[in-house]
Amino acid sequence: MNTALALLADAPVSPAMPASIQVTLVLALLLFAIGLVGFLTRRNMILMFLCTELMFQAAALAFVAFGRMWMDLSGQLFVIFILTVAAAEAALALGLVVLLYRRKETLSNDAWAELKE
Amino acid sequence: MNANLFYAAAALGAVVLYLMMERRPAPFRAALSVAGLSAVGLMMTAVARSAPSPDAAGHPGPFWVHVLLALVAVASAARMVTHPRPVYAALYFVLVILAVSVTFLLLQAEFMAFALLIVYAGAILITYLFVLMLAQQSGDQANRGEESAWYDRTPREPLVALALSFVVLATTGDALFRREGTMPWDASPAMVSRASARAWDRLDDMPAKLETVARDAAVRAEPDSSKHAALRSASLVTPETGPRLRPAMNGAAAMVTLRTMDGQDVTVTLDGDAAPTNSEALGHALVAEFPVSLELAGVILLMALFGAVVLARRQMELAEDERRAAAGLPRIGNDDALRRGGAA
Repeated sequence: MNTALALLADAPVSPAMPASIQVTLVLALLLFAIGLVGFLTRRNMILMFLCTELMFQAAALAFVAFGRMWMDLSGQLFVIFILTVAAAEAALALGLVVLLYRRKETLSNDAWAELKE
Repeated sequence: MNANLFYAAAALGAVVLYLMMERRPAPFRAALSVAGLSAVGLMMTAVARSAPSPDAAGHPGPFWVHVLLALVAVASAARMVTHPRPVYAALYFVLVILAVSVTFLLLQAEFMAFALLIVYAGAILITYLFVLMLAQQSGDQANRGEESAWYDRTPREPLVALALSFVVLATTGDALFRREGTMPWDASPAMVSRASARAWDRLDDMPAKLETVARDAAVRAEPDSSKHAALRSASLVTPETGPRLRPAMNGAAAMVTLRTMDGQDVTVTLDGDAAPTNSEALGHALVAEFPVSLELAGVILLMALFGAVVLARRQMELAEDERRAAAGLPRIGNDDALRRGGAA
């Protein structure tokens, strides 16, 4: 850390280490990629939605990390938005899944392959 | 060089994830976890070495905690997308949330860390577990004696999925290794003092808190304890022009003037500890800077509420109720009759 920044160590907002920001960004990338793999390979409809939640987490993590890098709060405000959308999505998606489960008694999304046509 | 190491480690991780998708014997699983964790560790090393000023040696604490949390999060995420039993997958997701929220704490986003725990681990995951358990009760595996349904054990197109997400990972990860762009990875003093000025502006917008912290700071700075009572009842002075708080020392501190009951002006210097905390600043930013996003979030939740009501409503045909009554069946609106009749 250079000396000019060391003088500001007591400031209300202190800078973050570049290395820890980058590690957090890699974590976000990995979680997004793993969530994508899960969404594509899972056949259980509930778990497919759970994998989208994992991708939401990755996006939230990237928002907070970039916000920390720029020392700005907008990133965290976007995470509030992500939480809202995730909660709404969970409620609606799970409601739909329960309706579909009542029709065919299975959670496999292959059972609904006819929707493709 | 570092970028190539990153891609190689990502490819290794993809292979590990592919092998995790089928059921394996225990020693093979142990070898897989070691390989997967070292792949993630290699990626972290590659990225940390490409950081402009690798000052991890100066602050060993937070950096290694970051890496440790990343390992926990990635390992449980990998287990989550490959576990054959859905309930366990949901529980591994809780572990991911825990690791992510501790990372938020390290990134000084305290409010978001606890909001994530409460909303995700507390509310959303419980909803998922409820639905999973509802569906598991009479699931297809119950009558066949298997521990999980076939569709939870057989992945769909694992190679295509892994190749696709490797491409996504590689293309986005490339940005971390580019230096010729405009990404200021290292905070400049100008950036810090700009951010500090914003923090002081926020404090200036909160007169009640500003008065309290100014009184406390004035009492702390005054050695003569006979004057403390007068300082505790002092009030803020609002200048004719300009803000009450005047940043000093390049933003590291700020000055504010207090006036005691007997008309004496005292100038107090506030240090960084007096600035608004994360939740205070976030609340201020939400209401003062981005009020429309707050309203939009409310509208989204309201729409989700309507959607849930529409989904949960009983589907009725036109005049079904009248036909039921004519046939001697209980009316749908009459819950007591329905329960006695056993129809639902």
